[in-house]
Amino acid sequence: MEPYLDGTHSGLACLRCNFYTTPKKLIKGGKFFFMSHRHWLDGRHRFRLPRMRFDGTIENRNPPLAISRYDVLQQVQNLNVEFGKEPLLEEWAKRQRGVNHVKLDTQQWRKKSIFFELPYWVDNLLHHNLDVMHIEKNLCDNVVSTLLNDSSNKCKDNLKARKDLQLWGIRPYLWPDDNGRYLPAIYYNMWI
Amino acid sequence: MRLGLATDGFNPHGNLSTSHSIWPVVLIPYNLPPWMYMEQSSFILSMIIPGKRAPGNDIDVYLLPLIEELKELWNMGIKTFYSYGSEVFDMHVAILWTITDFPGLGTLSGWNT
Repeated sequence: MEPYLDGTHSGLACLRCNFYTTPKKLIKGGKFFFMSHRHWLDGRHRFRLPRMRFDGTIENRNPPLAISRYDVLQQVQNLNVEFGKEPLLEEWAKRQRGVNHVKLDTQQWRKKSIFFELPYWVDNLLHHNLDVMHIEKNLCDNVVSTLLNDSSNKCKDNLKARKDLQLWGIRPYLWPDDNGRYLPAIYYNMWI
Repeated sequence: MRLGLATDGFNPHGNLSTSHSIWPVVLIPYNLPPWMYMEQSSFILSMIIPGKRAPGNDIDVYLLPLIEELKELWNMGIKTFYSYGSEVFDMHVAILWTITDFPGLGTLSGWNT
């Protein structure tokens, strides 16, 4: 699962994918995105080959390994975390507004979760669930607005997205013109 | 007995105030039939974490008493009366999984999303 995300700090957003994913950042849109869906496919799947229909690459990686619960434990067991405020960091962040949390972002695991105190926790197959009904509402809003080409900012098919396509050099028929104005209609749009 | 643990933050004052964030932690007993365990009356409100902002990574400190009790419930169990057979048995309790939204996943698991 590679979740849809508005804000992720490091790009390695999904616990399940662990380090086996390749986040990329949209230059104009400023968000992370995940184009490695195709490496889940069967090795000879025909979708692995066409460059231009996807992000301009051929996908020849194997599917990512399933991260086991023992892997997680191994990754976190040597973490030493002190909870509470970090006074030095707070001071420093106050002085430099907007660039705080730099220290925390360099590490992927921020603690060894307290649930590992439970003797059976490491043997549970599924640790954390996402509340789909909670998340799906925003996702649904965005998909519907994009399909209907809604003028609100929920529509993700905007000028920035088209400029990113141009920077990536894929799908030339969707690029904006030189003034950066004219957006050719995309085939899934339903114009009202 | 199996429990699910759900948590999420909300603001008790809505848009009126941004200086409150309350994180209820709710346990869900999965031994009940599916049409019963998602009823509000079946939920066990384990704790309410009040504060100016979300507990974030420090939520483990608040969860510590709960985890201690859960360890006891798993290792020793608790004497429970089984009314259908009129007998007493040792009930053992385990957390099955957690249910959160995406930021909540980050705070509970420690994975920096």
